[in-house]
Amino acid sequence: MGWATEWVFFVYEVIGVFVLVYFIDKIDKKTHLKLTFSFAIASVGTLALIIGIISFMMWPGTEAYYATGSASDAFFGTNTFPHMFLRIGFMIMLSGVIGLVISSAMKKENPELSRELTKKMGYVSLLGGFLTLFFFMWYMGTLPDNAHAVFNVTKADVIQSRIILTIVFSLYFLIAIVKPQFISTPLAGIMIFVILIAGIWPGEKLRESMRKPYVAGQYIYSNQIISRDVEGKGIKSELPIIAEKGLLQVNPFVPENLKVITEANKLEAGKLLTRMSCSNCHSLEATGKYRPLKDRLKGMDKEAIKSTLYAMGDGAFPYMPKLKLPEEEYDAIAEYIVSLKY
Amino acid sequence: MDASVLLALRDPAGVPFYPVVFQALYILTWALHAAFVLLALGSMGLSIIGTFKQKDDPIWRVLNPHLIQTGKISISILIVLGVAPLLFTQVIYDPNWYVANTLSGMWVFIFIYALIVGYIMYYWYYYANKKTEGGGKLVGILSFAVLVFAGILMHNFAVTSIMPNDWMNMYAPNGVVDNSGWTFNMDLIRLAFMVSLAIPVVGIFLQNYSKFLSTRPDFSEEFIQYTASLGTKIGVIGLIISAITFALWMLQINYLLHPLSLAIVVGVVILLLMVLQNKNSYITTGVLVIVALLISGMRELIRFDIMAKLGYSIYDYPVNLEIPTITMFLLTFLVLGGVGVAWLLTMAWKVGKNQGVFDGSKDVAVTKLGNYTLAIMVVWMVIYFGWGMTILFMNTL
Repeated sequence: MGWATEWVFFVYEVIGVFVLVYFIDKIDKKTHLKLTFSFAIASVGTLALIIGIISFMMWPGTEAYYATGSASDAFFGTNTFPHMFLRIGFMIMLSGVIGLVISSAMKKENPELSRELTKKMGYVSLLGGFLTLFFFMWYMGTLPDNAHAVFNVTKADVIQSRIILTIVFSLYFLIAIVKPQFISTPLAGIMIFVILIAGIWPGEKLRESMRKPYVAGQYIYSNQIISRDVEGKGIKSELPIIAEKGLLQVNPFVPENLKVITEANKLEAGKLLTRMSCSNCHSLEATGKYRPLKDRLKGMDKEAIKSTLYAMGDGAFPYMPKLKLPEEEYDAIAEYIVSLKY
Repeated sequence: MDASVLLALRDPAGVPFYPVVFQALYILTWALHAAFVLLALGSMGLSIIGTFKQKDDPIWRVLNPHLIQTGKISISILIVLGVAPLLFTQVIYDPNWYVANTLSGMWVFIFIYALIVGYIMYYWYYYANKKTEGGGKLVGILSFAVLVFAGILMHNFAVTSIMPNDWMNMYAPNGVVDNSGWTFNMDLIRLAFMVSLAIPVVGIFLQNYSKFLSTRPDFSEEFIQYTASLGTKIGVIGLIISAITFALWMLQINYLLHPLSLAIVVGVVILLLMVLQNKNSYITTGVLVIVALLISGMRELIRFDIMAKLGYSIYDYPVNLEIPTITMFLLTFLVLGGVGVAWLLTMAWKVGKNQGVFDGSKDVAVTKLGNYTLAIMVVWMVIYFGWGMTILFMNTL
């Protein structure tokens, strides 16, 4: 229901933005200002709802959700509010960064106002930037262990790039405050792109990867397999039945001729199994781009691949699904991967 | 595809409230979405014809930019209104939704890009036409084609999702799994009917447009007359085409004598008479809304029957009652959404009726609705934080 509620704000915002833009000189200033305030609150409302959902996707934060199955326990986890204020800080900073484009563009027509606004935008951005950093640290502390396991892989790079970004933008905002005349429209425009490409893009990518091996709530793996019971919702883990009967028997979308592995269909079955269990995160092709299997299994023979699969089934890698399969399915997967000759 | 497979594809978490409520919300929000799809298609299409007349004809010189603007706003609205039926489908027909999205995965990507490219091109058309009268013909036609193509893709997803008996064959023809995501299915008569509705919708829109502007002294009597009679012509021809294609579609699937189908036929005939007379197009629009709801209901009936025959009934979906969140949604939808959107639309109506600057602060309705909207939003935020903090304290302390 979170998404549906968010949709109400979304409708308000889309109609609202047309009204805001088209009526700017057709309606009195007071009403327009009221409209602007309502638009701002609606936008924060959208954020408040989306944040609960994506925080739950990362993890429910406490054990309560698994027992009660209640959406409130899923929505308001330990991760939700730090995540929300991290984004509110970022939102404030970004409004300043965009505001600098507008204030610098006024330089010719109204130099006094341009100066004043640029200075103010500098302060606003600095405050937003501080809030972003502050809540980012808090946010990281509220993430589950698997997220830290993924984060640790690229930790050094991420921290280094964040430090550089912080220095660059702090300087930029300080210049806006101390020497507002130095801020030109092209520079302000470029800074928007810098923040989009070096700030938002890697940030969102990091959040999405840190969720691995789960896609939501730490009970559904990226390959859609349910990995634990959620008593409150009557959800049962699918891992025991898969370990016993195998994916080919359990998955409803397996063609009849591949349901039982034979010498004749082994490669074909291995291919389907690999696609079902691995391809949600890994490119299988030798030319693949997304965390390609070839980089991880290069030069391995069938036995080596199989022992990697066994280790995975026992949960050796916290960022990978703990997927245990029957021996013949492991065998078929290993045979297929070997046939790809990475 | 037998019931056990379809049931296995359902969300094991169940649904948070009685499925019939989601079904009703689906029918309602799909009709709203479709209304703007049709208005967008109709006004875009007519505006392209208009670009050829705009240079020499003083009426089209005024009318055409308005049509282009209507198309532009309608696309935004149709996108945002399209999100809701999509959500409700996912709740009660999740097997259908996710299978169709997987089978046609490539088309889903293409759909998103087509929509982005088509809409950006539409803005290009809008600015080109603003710059020179009759400008932007080629880019207008191209953007129209791209957006219609996006519509055809959406039709593919809808049609594929109600073909559960053929899914396995689409996924693994002759036992060989096809992961390409290029599954594409069309039901030409159904599509023709749906698209044809754009014609009567733009016809009735023109009647409304003419009626709305008739109180404005800056629009000539000739302009008001012309747009009204153009609306009548387009509306009548369009309704006849829609009626024929609807009957053909119903014949094809053997639903013509179903009460719902007959009700739609009666509705279309009433619309035809009302459009022909054009006494009060606002009332015609009201009837149009009812017919749109019936058509949306027809779509749902077809899907419901297909699934019921296979042993999948949405009414048997396990319900895990979620009273707090459903209350949050219904209150937000009805109170915040209702009052907020009423405010925006009242303002839009009054600004449109007014020449020059409209002083909303002196208008009782606008002022009150605005204050209520802001107050409701503030209260909403207070409840949100209160609720969240209570839950967190209870679960962590």
